[in-house]
Amino acid sequence: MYEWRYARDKLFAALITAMSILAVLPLFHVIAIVVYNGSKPVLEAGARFLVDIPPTPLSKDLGGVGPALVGSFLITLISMPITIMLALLAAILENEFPHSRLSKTVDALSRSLASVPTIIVSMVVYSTLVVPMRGFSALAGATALTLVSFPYAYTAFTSALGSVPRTYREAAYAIGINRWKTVFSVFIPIARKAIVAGILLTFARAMGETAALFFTVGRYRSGISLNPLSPTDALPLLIFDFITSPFRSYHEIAWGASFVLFVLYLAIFITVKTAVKEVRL
Amino acid sequence: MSWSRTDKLFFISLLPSAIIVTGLLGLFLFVVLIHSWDSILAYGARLFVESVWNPEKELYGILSPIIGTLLTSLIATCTALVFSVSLSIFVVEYLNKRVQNIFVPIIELMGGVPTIVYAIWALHYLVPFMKASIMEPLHKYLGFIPLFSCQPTTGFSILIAGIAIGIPLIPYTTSIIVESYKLVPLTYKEACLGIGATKYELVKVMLAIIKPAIIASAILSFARASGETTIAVTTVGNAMSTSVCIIGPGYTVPALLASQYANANLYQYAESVLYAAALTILLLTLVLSFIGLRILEKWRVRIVV
Amino acid sequence: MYITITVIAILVTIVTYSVIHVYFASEKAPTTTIPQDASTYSTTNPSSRLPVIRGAGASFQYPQIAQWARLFQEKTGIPITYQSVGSGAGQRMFLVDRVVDFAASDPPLSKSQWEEHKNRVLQVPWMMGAVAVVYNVPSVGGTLNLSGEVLAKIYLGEVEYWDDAAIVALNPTIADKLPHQPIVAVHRSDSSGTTEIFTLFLHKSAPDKWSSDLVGKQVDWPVDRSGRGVGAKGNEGVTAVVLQTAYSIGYVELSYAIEHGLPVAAIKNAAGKFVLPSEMSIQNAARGVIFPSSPQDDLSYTLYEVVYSPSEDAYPIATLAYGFFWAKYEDREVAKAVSEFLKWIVQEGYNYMIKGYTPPPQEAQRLLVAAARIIEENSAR
Repeated sequence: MYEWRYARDKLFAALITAMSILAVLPLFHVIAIVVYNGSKPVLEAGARFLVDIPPTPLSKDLGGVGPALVGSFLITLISMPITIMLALLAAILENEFPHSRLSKTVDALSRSLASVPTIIVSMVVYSTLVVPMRGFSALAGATALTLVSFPYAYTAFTSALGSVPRTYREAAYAIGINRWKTVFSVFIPIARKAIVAGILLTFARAMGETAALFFTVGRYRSGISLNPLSPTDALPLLIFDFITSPFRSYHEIAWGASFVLFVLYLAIFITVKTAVKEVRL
Repeated sequence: MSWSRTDKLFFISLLPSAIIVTGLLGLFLFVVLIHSWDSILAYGARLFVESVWNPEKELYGILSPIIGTLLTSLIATCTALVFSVSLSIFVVEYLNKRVQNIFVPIIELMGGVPTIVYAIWALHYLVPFMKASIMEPLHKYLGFIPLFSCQPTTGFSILIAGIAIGIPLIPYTTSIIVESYKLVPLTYKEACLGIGATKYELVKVMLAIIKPAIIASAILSFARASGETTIAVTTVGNAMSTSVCIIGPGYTVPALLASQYANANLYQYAESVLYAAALTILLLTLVLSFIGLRILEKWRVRIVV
Repeated sequence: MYITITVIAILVTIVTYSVIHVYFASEKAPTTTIPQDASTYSTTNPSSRLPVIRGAGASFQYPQIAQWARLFQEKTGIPITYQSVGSGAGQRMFLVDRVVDFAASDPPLSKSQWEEHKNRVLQVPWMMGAVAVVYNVPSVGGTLNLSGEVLAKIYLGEVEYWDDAAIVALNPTIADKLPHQPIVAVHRSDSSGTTEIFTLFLHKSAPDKWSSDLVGKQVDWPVDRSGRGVGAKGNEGVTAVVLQTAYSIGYVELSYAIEHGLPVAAIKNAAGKFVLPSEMSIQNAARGVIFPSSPQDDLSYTLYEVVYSPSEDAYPIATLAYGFFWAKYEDREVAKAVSEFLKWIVQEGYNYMIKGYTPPPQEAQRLLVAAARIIEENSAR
């Protein structure tokens, strides 16, 4: 009598499968392009690719992306903890006191920040940090990255904490746990997979961000620098600079750098994901 | 409501980070406002209703990029949402546990590709492909609709830019929706299946439950799409056009910025106009997201368990 | 659990390997490793032992400056950083914000800018480049001859097809290979010095067709209105569009044309000859320009004069590119390093030019030497 319900169900399944394949195809294609174009220079240059400085148009060697790799690490290492901490606390505020004016303000500000073209972020950080400091620095780059990645972390964390069912909150209060402990011992552990996913996505955003580092980080490519107060380089910036130039060696370095970036992300991704277990409700 | 002492202390302990965040973001917006003030005073409303860019003669009108930004962001958000909701449903309902644990990380991995790589990929692969397979047929058969009335010469257009911006958004929105989906208690699923619902009907119920997450990620996707620079500047065609046709070249505010920042300070008002454009998009996104959240509030199903 | 351990082990190995390499840089001398004396300081604050020369500006000059910087660093250990943020941003970083030690700009300081910074800024025209007109017409095998007037008509939208009488008149030998196809005219959509040079050339060679209104870093191209105009971002954008679109024509920096193997047109110069861009023909364009005797003088007219130069064998769309330096640097180490760099460019740097970049003529090179002397003298006080 209700065959049409089952027919609709089958149609739906077919539609969803088709859409999913269509969605995944471009993503796979991009990854394939990166691996195909990027693995050649990296394998040619070997592990030196991770340490050497980039070539110049007349160089015979392929060189490497050492300064950019170390720089990206440095900048991300400085900016990530700050972003995560701020975003997590702001998300907790939003979750616990959703009607307070403060949390609504933070919400609105975060969303408007996400819509700012990132090159403006770098121009603002330039005029407020680089000019007074009389020089470019990894710190300025990290500040720009924090501003850019905050909205993502914030949205991911609010989603994660908001998806925890109310029953747990009521249960925790019922046995007398105070509010701080509920958040840290009940909500966060339950939502930990979602929170970790949020952290990883924020990390991905931070490592792949180009325009925010434009006027902030200094593009110091002649050597490896570990000082946060002096200029450094970053992988996405290097990719951008080199891929828009006409030279083939520059293009190869750019693809190799994309490949390195991807593999790096992959390694950290796998490590973190395997360490965190899922929670079944 | 009267708060207990512990509640008050709790609130106060969360204040420092909220204040830092508000301060930082507020300061940022303030700086953008200051820098754009000059041109707004000098040009007034003309800046926002005309469409011209001639820095040599100090003539500016940013209507075209503003409209272009809204259009591309809309297309991008729709693309991202449609695909990521489908993807999330597919992953959670139609795949078994083991395949899920491989598939989901792969999708989230896609989020780690820098946007510049997407831009290059779009330039060399997506644009030629879509021009031949979608845009030219659209113009040939549906050319009477104003949306498709212009001839696609190179394929760079608002439509392509919207789709190219939407694709890298898919991993992010999928991840949020999948995680929220998995956090819905099993009881709902069991209840639905217990009364004989088909998978389709089950999915309808689940989507209604996680609607807040979907809307939140949609709003953030819209905001991010408005700010996306590298992909936009490579695919949108960079032409000041106010025609309603989406398969011809256009402009977005980030693309305008990326194209003009280099020499902007050689002119008197150019830089200030660029800041003003960014400010406009900022305010527009704010307004639109408020409307979106209002709609969310009205539909919010209070799940009392 | 074991997967985690394995992955962490791999990461630790990679990191240790890299750290070892950084601290004990090898003694082999491929041109890209950090020379011994620089490596010891490179992992500490770059401004602690040797000075760093920081520059910013035009993306056109980036590859050549990067090449010079690398060779200079190998010789003296002093690193030079350069950010290709655009001429405008570079000028601002140098003149206003003082966050860099030198700027590289495609246009020289305008008269009013020079007045503002009178005697404090040194301008050196330290390299030359050219704008190449590239085309993609599959049936044409050899070189196409074009003139400023024909190009102006193409970009005005008046010449529509490749077999137009005006083009045929310039190319009688290959007239039969010119197809009856509409010309797709590619131009820049972003603000750029390349556009400024190209439009200046069109105006100087065909002033009655291409008015001075249409000269600048960013113009309203009349050909867009006919639907056959395309705007692309950056030199790489124009290159990509011309490569991908048959029957298109565009203008790019010479190095892009060379590296991508695009066919380059021979352009009719002021003396009536059809010239291809080459090191000789580019330098010839600057031979007629009278450079001032001191880098502290006004150079604002030099760029105008080098385009469509009256010299016999000059390439008409050649450009000069400039470096801006302070006459007096507060930091004595930086002043010494900068003057060393300028002297090195004249003595050795000009032997290492990248394809598409040319040294300026002798009269201009004297300005670099003069600049080095001025900087040294001022820092000694």
